Amino acid sequence: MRKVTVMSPQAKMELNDVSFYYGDLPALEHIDLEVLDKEILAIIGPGMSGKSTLLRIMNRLADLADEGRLEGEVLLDGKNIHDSDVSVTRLRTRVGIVFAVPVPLPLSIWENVAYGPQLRTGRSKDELDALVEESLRAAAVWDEVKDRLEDPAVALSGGQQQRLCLARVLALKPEVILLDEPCSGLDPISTMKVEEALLTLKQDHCIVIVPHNVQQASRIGDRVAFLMMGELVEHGEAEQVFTKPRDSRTDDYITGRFG
Amino acid sequence: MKVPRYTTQKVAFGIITAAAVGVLIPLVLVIAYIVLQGIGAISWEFISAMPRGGMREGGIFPALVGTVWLTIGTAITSIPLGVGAGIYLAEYAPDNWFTRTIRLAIINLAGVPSVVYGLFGLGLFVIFLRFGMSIVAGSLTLGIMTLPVIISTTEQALTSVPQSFRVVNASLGGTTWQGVRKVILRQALPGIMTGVVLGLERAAGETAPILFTVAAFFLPRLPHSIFDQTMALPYHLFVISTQVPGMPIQIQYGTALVLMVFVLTMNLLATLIRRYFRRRRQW
Repeated sequence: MRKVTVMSPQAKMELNDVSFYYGDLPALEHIDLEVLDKEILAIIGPGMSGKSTLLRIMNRLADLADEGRLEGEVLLDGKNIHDSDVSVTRLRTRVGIVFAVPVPLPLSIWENVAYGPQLRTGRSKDELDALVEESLRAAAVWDEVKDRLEDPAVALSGGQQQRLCLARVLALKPEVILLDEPCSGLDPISTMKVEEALLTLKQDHCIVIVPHNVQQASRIGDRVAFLMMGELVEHGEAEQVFTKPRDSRTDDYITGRFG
Repeated sequence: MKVPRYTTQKVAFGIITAAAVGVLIPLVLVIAYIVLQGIGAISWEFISAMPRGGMREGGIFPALVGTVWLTIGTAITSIPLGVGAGIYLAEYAPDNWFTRTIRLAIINLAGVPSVVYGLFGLGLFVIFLRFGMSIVAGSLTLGIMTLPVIISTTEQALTSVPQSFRVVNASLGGTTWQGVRKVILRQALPGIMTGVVLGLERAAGETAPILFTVAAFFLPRLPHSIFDQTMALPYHLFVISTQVPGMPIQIQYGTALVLMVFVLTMNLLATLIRRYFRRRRQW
């Protein structure tokens, strides 16, 4: 008889005692955090609390910061992403990121989505076509752009650009998707579309989002982490954090007393 | 008494407009004068014939060809090196003493008088490397003189491309070079072209650097190879203006007109290509 193993959620990424400094300025201090597969982790907190830095540490974009310095270790599938045998370009395709302000490359819509895959050789035009369509569909923007894939991507509206940027990351076939306030400039309908896309993507991805408000965190977050001034105040199941926060600062923040 | 700001605005606008027009006046005068004085000399023979009768008759064909060769040679020697160095400084160079030294060197190179480049070319290429007075020696000398312009405009054109494109490239798993090649360079191309053409134009019109390295006083034949001497328009103009007694003034201005048209044509071409690329720029 085949043995059925029940998959328990396991840590896709782990941050162990991570601190990050810009020069002498600490942005994050002693963060311990696990990100599980097939879940959405929402990182909330007031401005300047280190949320964006946290995301950028997870795919080593923080390496690009002048005078940036990292302490502690970041693991992906148990492997330290700063090990010398880890390819940083490969890592960034496994851990994709969508930024707050959509930046379409000055190329066509098609070229934007195919950009990442094309960097890594050896795919036919047909394969790329299929990948582009699949990615745009998953990002809920296919129907709006399918007839003008050769048009410049900057011609799209802000909401479409943001979903294009999501599609561009999905085309990398990432295992982890990081989203830094992906809906900050979007109208409610575009926001809804992005959120629906994320809930679908969650089924086979690990998603970390910095939502643009607490409501969004409660709508789509499975677990929530609350950051303040570079300190991870608390984290846990969304339900627990929102209804029975352990720390009074969390309570103050989610009830809107500051932030 | 307080002057109404509307009046001061008008006065300021007037002065600034006058400055702009004032810049145009000498340019228009120079062009008009050369065209009027020189147009009578222009004929197919003038462009395509060898000079005769102590250069007082015939054409300027070998000088024109020589300048074309030297411009091409300058482009070949200076563009790869200059654009390459510009890309290095803009995209790769860390901020350390080595990079700062390079930048300082470039600024200083730009300030070196062109006759010094000529002497340098004579010493290094003509004598030490035994190229003799030749198109190679002249092109290399002009190329080195042109480098600072190309390097600094390339660097500026690249740094004016938004940083966010580089971050996006990195975030999609691209290397620095992939980002440069697939995105950044294309966006910077109009600016780079401007620098290249500015540099080449200056090289095409320079006399001092070719004086000791390539230019022939009177050589009524085309160069046999790149190791041959050649006549060149700027030096020829100098020669017929100062070294040949009884020179018809029309030929002098005709030669100046050809040189000017040559340079302006390059400029026009660059503008057209630049406009083509700029229309495709998207950010």
